[in-house]
Formats: sequence, C-alpha cells, structure tokens
Amino acid sequence: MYDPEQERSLVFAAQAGDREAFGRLYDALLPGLYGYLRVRMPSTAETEDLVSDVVLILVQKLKKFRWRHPGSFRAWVFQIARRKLADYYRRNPVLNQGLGENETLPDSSPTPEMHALHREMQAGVLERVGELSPRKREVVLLRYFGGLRNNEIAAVLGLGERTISAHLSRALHELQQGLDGDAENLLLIRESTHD
Amino acid sequence: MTDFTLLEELLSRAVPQPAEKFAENLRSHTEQAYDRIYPPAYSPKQLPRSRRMLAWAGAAALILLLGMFLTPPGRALAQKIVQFGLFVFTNEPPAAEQMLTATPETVYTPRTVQADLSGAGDIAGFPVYYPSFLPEGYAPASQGVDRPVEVLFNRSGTVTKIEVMFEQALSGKILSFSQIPLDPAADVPLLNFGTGQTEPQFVSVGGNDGVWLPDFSWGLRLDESGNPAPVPYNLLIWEISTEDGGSFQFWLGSEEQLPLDVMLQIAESIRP
Repeated sequence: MYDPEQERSLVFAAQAGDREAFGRLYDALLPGLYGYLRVRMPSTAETEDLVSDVVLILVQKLKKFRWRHPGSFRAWVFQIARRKLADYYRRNPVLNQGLGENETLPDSSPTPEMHALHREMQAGVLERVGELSPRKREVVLLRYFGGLRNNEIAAVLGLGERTISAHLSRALHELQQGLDGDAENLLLIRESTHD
Repeated sequence: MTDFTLLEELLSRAVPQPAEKFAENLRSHTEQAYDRIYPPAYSPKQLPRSRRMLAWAGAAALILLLGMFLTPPGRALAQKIVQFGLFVFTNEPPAAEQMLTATPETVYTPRTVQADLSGAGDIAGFPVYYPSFLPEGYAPASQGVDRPVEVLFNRSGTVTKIEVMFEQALSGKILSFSQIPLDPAADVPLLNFGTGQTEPQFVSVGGNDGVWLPDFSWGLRLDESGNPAPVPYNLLIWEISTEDGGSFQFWLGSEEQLPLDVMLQIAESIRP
C-alpha cells in the first residue's frame, strides 16, 4: 500500500545517505518503471538498458530532488524515464513507438495451456491499449503499467488531475468494449490458479 | 456506474515484470553508484549528534544571523506554505521584522575574517564562488584587497558562510552575495522561514532549483528617528551540487530591488 508519508521519509533518508532507505525506494519503483518502459520498447534487452540508465540518473540527481507534495517523487522519476524514452526514439527514429512484444509475463500459470492463454490475453489487452489515442494510452500506461496515481500522472504530464480522471475514464470505457473473450480467458486463468 | 474490475485485473496481469537476475544486478550496480555519491562513512547513522549539528551549522548560523527564529515543530507544520530545501516558507513576519521585537541574546554575531578571493578559499577549505557579472555602478563595498570577501565562522570555528557586499556608486544601495556550504549527509530539521506578505516563487537558476522573494523585508536600517526599520530587498536563493559532491546554497539580495532577469544574470555568472 502506497504511503506518501513513508515515501517522503524514505526520500529524505536516502538523500541524507541512508542506503537502506534508498534500497526500499528502488524496490518500490522498479516494477512500475520496468513495466511502463517495457511496453514502450522493442525488446527486453533494450528495456533493461533504458531502466538501468534511468535508475543511475536517479541516483546521481537524487540530491537535487526537492519534495514538493505527495507523489512528486514518483512523478519526477517517471519524468526522467519519459525523457530517456524520447531520447531513445530520437536516436532510433525508424522504430515504432507502439507497444512491444512481451516475453516476460508475470506468470503464475500452472500449465503450458494456461501460459499460452495468458500470453494471448496479454497481447489482446496491449493491442487494445495501443489503439487508444496517444494521450489516453499514456494515461493508461502510467496508471496500470507504471503504477502511478492520478495526481502523479497529472504531475508527469503537466495536466490537471481532473483531466487525467476524464482521460482515464474514457479510456477504460473504450477498453471495456470487446472484453468478452478476454474475460472468459481471465476466468479460466483464475480457476486454474485457484485449483 | 460501469464496473471495471475485470478490465483492471486484465491490465494488471498484462504488466511485464523485470527478470529477477536483472533486478538483482541492477540493484547491485545502483548501490555501488549510491555509495560513490554518499560514502558509507558519512551515513547519518554513523555520525555523532554533535557532528550532525555542526554539519548544518552553515545554514543555522545564517538563520541566526538574520534573526530567524525556529518555531515549535507543530506550529511550523500547521503554517506550512511551501518548502525549499530545508526551509518551510510560512506567512509569519519576515525575520527582519521579528528582530524589531527580539531579545538581543537571540542573535549571534559570528566571527568574521576578511580576505581576498583566493585567500578565502584557503581559509574555507572549499571553492569560493564570485559573480563575474555585476550591473553598472556596482563595486565591492570593502576596499584594500582585490575582490574582498568575508569568511564567517560559528562558535565552534567552522566556516558557515562566505559573504560579499557590493555597493551601487550613486545610490549607495547594497547587493549582497552569500555562499553557504551544505552537507546533504546531515540529518537536520526543517527551518521556518517567515516571508510575510511575500509569495515565494520557484525559479530555475542555470538549471538549479531556486526561490525568488521580491520585495522581501530582509535588512534593517536606522530610520530618520534613529529607530531600526526593515528594508525591502529582492532576494534570490538557490542551491547547486558540484561534481566532487559539494553542495552550496547561495543568497543574492538587492536593496535596489533589481528585477529577476538581472538577478538571474548575476546568479548565473558566479564561478569558483
């Protein structure tokens, strides 16, 4: 559970040289950072390079970070990530900025069939997210793949929190269309993991 | 109301996860990088309390010098407006105005040594910054040596501030430039900073975070009746981190109330 007061304490402690506090921030940030960047990058290897760059920049610039409000830290980290992503695509303009293939699923599927089903379901979800307008897609990726809350997304994108809520609501309604097949797959996966 | 529970579960299950080996390796590299910037020897847990207090004496001495008063923490939080570094800006009266009713013993007068620029660096033990641009008519207020600066010490003999005063030849108004060494490894409480009616504005000073306080009661001067009265300044505060791990806070105050663009020009011209 995200606790802004705890995050604030960890940031201040890490800025003061507390390695353990920094480690806890790293653990909290990595999954979202990786998840968000992985779907924007063409391969796992390049995602790992980019995530490494972002984390090292974070270490180097941590001293200069100023806590402004709850969520400002993660917004700052994702701003760095988005700048690095933009740099990557400036250097590799022939690549598409679409949502990439995903060979590293969070996989609790007990059987190869369920694994394949899971892969299929994930591909379907990503395809539909990829069809959203760029702004809505970005909000969904930051929310569900990056793990940010609406106020943090607002800070990352420089928009108001209400605007983010509106984009997110419209995006979810669009994604909800044609959910049936995926919902059936999800129920099968749920049953198999509960057996 | 549409139920997005299934959709949200689908989205959460679609999130790619980092490989365990990658996460472990990156953690190890990151910790090494962290240790280079924050050497373990300077971990706040290993510093005695007296050292921690000393480490931030620079900022504290400045606060005392300006007559700023620490208010009880609960009160500080209740009145919080905005934070910059260690400062919590509040709408309490500025320190200069509070000084009018302060008891004299709350103000510590630091020991001061005047030196030229290179001599000050030798005394301080860190690079001393100096503006290479000044608006027309401004010259050092002190005479005798080339580029004179003052080095201020606290009671324990630690250098807490470098200060340079410039004077406008026609008006006699002061332009004050101060450099305060910071120790980011130290663990110190936030300090209350009353700004009265002045609204702090965040600005960028050469890419570094800064705060602009226009028309801020900063100094005191005797009025025609011989009574001390607050003097409004335009004040710019910013911080930098150097490549060798040093960290400094700078204060640039203009009694002439030079505009922000000119103050930024001066601020961005500082060099060690």
